[in-house]
Amino acid sequence: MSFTPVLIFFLGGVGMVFAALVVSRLLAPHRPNPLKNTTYECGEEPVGSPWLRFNTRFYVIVLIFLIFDVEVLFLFPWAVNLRELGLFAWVDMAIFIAILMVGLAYVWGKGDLEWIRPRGSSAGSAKGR
Amino acid sequence: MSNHLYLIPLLPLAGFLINGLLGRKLGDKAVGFIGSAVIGIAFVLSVAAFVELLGLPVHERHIDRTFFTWLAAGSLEVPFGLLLDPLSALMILVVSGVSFIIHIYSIGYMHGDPGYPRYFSFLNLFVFFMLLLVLGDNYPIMFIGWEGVGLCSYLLIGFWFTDEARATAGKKAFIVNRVGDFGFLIGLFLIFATFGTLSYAGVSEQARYWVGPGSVIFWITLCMFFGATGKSAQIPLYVWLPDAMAGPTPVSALIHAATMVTAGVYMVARNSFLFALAPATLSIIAWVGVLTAIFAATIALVNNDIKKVLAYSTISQLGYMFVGCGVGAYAAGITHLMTHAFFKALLFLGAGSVIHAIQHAHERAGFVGDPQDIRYMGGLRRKLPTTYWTFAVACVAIAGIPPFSGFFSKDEIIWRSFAGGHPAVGVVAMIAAGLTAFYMFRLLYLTFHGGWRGRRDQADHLHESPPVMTMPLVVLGLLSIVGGWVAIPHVLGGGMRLEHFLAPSFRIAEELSVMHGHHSVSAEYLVMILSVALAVGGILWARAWYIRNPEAPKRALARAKWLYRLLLNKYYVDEIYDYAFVQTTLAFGDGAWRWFDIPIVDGLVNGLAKLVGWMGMVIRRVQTGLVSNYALMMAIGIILVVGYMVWK
Amino acid sequence: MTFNPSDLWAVAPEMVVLAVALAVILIELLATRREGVLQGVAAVGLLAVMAVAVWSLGRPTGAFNGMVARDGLTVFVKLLLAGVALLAVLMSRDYLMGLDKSAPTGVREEVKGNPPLPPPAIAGGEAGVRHGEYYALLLLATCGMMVLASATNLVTLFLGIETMSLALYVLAGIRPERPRSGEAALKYFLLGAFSTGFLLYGMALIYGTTGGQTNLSMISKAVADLGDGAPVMLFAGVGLLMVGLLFKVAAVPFHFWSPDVYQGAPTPVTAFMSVGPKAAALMAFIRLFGWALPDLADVWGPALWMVAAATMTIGNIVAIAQRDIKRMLAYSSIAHAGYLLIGVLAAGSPGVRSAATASMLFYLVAYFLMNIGAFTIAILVSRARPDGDYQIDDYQGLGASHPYLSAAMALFMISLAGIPPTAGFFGKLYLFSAGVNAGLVTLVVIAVLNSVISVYYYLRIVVYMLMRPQPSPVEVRISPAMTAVVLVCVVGVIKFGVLPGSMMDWARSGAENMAQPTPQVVVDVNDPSQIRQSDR
Repeated sequence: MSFTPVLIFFLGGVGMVFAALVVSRLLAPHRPNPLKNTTYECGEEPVGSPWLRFNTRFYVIVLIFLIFDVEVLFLFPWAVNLRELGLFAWVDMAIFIAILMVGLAYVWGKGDLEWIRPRGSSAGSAKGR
Repeated sequence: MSNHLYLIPLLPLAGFLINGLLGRKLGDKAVGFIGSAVIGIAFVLSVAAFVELLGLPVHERHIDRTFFTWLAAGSLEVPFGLLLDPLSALMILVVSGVSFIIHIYSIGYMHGDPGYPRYFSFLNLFVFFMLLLVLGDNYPIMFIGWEGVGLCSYLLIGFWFTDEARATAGKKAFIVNRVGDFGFLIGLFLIFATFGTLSYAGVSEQARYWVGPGSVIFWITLCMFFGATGKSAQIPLYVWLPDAMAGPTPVSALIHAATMVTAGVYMVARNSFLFALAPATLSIIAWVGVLTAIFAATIALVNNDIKKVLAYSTISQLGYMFVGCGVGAYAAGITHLMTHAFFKALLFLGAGSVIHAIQHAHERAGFVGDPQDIRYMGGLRRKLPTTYWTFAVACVAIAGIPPFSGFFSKDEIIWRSFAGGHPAVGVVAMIAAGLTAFYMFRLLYLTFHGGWRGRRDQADHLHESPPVMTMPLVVLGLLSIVGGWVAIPHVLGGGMRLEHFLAPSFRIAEELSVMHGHHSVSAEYLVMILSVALAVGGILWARAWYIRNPEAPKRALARAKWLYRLLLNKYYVDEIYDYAFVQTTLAFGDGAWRWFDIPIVDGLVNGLAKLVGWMGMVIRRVQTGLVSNYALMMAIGIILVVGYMVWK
Repeated sequence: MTFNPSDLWAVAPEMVVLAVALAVILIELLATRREGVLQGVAAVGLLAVMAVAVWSLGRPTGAFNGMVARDGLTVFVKLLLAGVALLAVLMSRDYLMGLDKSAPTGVREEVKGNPPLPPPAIAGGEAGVRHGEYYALLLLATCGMMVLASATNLVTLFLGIETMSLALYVLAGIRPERPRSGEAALKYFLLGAFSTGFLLYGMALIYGTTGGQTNLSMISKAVADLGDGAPVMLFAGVGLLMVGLLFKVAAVPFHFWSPDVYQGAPTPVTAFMSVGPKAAALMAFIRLFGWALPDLADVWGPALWMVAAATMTIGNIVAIAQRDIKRMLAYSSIAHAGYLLIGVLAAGSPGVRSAATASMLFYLVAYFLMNIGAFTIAILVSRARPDGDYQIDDYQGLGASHPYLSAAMALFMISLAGIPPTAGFFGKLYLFSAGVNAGLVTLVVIAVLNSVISVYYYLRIVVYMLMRPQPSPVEVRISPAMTAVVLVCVVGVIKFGVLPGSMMDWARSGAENMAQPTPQVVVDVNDPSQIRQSDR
């Protein structure tokens, strides 16, 4: 009984996909060439050795984005309810943000956020050795 | 003090650790000082504990302290608990006191030995185990002490392990003791199976109201007594003690005369509540004791090694102690244990002083020979006066001449055998007492009287030992005189003070005991006079043979040559044991090795080992190093586990 | 939701660990000449954690509405975990300094199954390891383990597992210049993520079938209410949850990661990983299976029985074939996990639960001491070699040149084999007797046979040290910190091997002081915040 809307939703979703494909097929012009037929891979060359190395800097950026994105995810419901939750929740979130800030200060201070960094040398805070 | 009772065994352990780990760095002086000081402090603490116990009313003289749970597995729980009652208080006094004196003596005796730190650390370790043995409030602790003193005895008998014979002697002592320990261990298992507890308090409480079959108790006590015959050198397991004389003489004095060998007597006395329930075992003990006493005494009559004579004498005296326990006179047995500790330690230390002097003379004269053969001694009275006088005191004491200590303890045992309904035991014990007097004075006369029978050039090098060795002799000499005065019987106007002091420890045994002998004052006088007369007779006989008329013994021996040879060869018991047990066992072992071990056991074991190793190699292949394979294996595992749980 | 300030005591040790970790990070950032300072701060901080843990001991109770437990068991385990971390910290500095000096950036290793890679480009661009990061990750992993060990709610359980695991993934790969270290980290991470998926799926199924419960005591109640009508999905959920935890204790067949990871990770981390996560995950096992789900013991029991038997057998048999001491210890740790699972099974029968838990605690303490000791000596011996390898052959003739070190190693091996008078013996004795009391006679027989097999490869090291001639002279240098670690382990192994009573008493009082299942706090109608939440 309670799953009926789910079924309708599911059927609707599948229907929409088919509808889009059919409509596209009917309306779009159809002039293929070899370049058009290759797999799409975010602008990278799709042919070649699979053992190719991605630049690790992308990961750093992604990680930082993820961390602060998730932070905001936590901040939003907290901000909405702050008045009811009171001082305790405020202290709670302050500690949470402080911990994140320590992490940010660390990567910043160590120079791990620098985009261009010559290999083998340490930028930012130099090691004391 | 009773709150810190654990300090008494702990101090010697600390001494062992310090001397054992740092001994070489500390130097001999410091080692000797530390080794003796820890025992000295332990003695002072023992005195404090004793005094504290004396200050309590009689019925409260039972302090049982549990310090921590030592181990617990299932229904078996062994607390580390120490028990201070009159029996253990007396034992710690004797053990720590005599040990202290002997440690002091060792400083001089072992001077210059390359193994000096090792010697003192082992000696400290021994005292630790011995104190643990007598202080423990349950059987496992006693057993640990029991095994520990055996181990130390083995280490110290073979102290000069580079000498093949000495190392073998150590091994013999260890193996023979293991045979006895096996009996003790079976006894402990039987106790646990029967009573479900291993604490003295628990077992004695149940024994008090025991209504079960007597046969169980009979086997328990018999097994335990078998253990005691090993440790305390009784028939049939006495053979190791004479060989144990290979160790340094102070070790013989401490371990093989005063303390360790009496552990069996202590064990029987401590378990008086069990033995009292088994009159049959008690009779066996009394008879084994008295037979050992006379058997060893006869061997001592003819032996020519000063330490071996003392060793057989020790076996014989231990026999008396067991007679005391066997006839229900536990206090008398323990009293004899104490007086014997004094005079036998004194005899050994005196012998050590003699050996020390002769060894020294040998070295000076560039002569290699046995420094322990009394046939080549004589006339040492003038050269070693202190040693002579103290040795003489000990001889009088062991011979049982009043008012020296040996008289009171030995006479009490003999009298209680008559009074307790074992007149035959009493008669044999009396004859053995006469023999004791004879062989001890033979030893005294041959060693100290007459003229020097060794080489002329050695005589000039004979000197009295240094004060650090003679002072202990004097102290023990005094104790040998006065030590028995706490046990003067009522008929001589004494108060039996030691027996009254010990009584609470044997209360349950007294309650359970069925035999209450008749007390006849005139009979007690008669026994006393007879045994003193026998002792005096033995002394006079020795004097007649070895001072007045040295040719007499030779003539006598010529007439009874077979007897002499039988005694000199110790009844051939070693040879019989060797043939009956050792050779048979070796033959059996060889056969088993040849026909069973090699083809079956080895084959099976090696085959199994190979199989396991091969399986290891095969299973290892699964560990490919590739993550995808691992994930696949995990997925299979998950399907198996979850599948089993869902479709079970 | 009400907040009770005294609840903070329940997580006081975790808060202190976290604070120390942050302090370590800031020191790494701000101070110069900081290696010694970092180690000191981490060590002193862990001592403070232990003090706080002891201080936080109180009447057994739940905290934060049943999210975590505050009882003797958690305090005992937190002390153990802090101890593990402390010894790992103490042995780390020498190891890290050794890396800094020899910094084998040019040294290449062949990695099995992969083509050789060019030198990796590292984000930091630095050779060696930043000590601050290292200690901070170690402390954060410890924090996660503490949460895991005290969790009484599926959410906190998951939180603890993930905090612990994420830190450990990074720690395993903290030597970027060493491909084997990176390989270890990647394998650990991939397989760990795989298992976490199953863990979460299991939690979801349990949540669904028990009517939306995540609190363990409520789950227990719901399972009891379901009785025989429990849906199959519940069993599947329990099974998946079990699989997720079994991965963390490296039980067969979820153990494949452990030898590779143990070998590849920095050795102090390996020592840490071989004890800490096991202890924490086994406590979660005890709470989950022994405490919340004993009613389903006939469902999870046989499966766990099979896993335990397979774990100890395969661990021991494969250990025999190893030539690398770290891999050998890895398989040995798999085998020990198998023994410990006997305790979990025994805890499933209610009469034996505290005894079984206590015996597991004792075993963990013994295993901690002997295993950390063995790893420490492995580090020392490996550092004496020019190539820093961990071959068993390196132990030949060590007894003659380094008698004390060899004696200590022999003691640890004898203890691992479970021979008296060592802590390992009493650990096995208590554990196996708990197993027998719970009626697991067959499993205990298998375990005893396995102990016999294990004697072979443990004593092989002893034989090598004492009876083989030394191929080439080695000089093992021992710093004070390393000496301290070895001494602590030696003294502990002997102490608990001769006098196990005191530790067993603590373990028993810890196990008996466990917070019992209590009904959850009823929603308070007078509390406006709760009404608002239920309205929304």
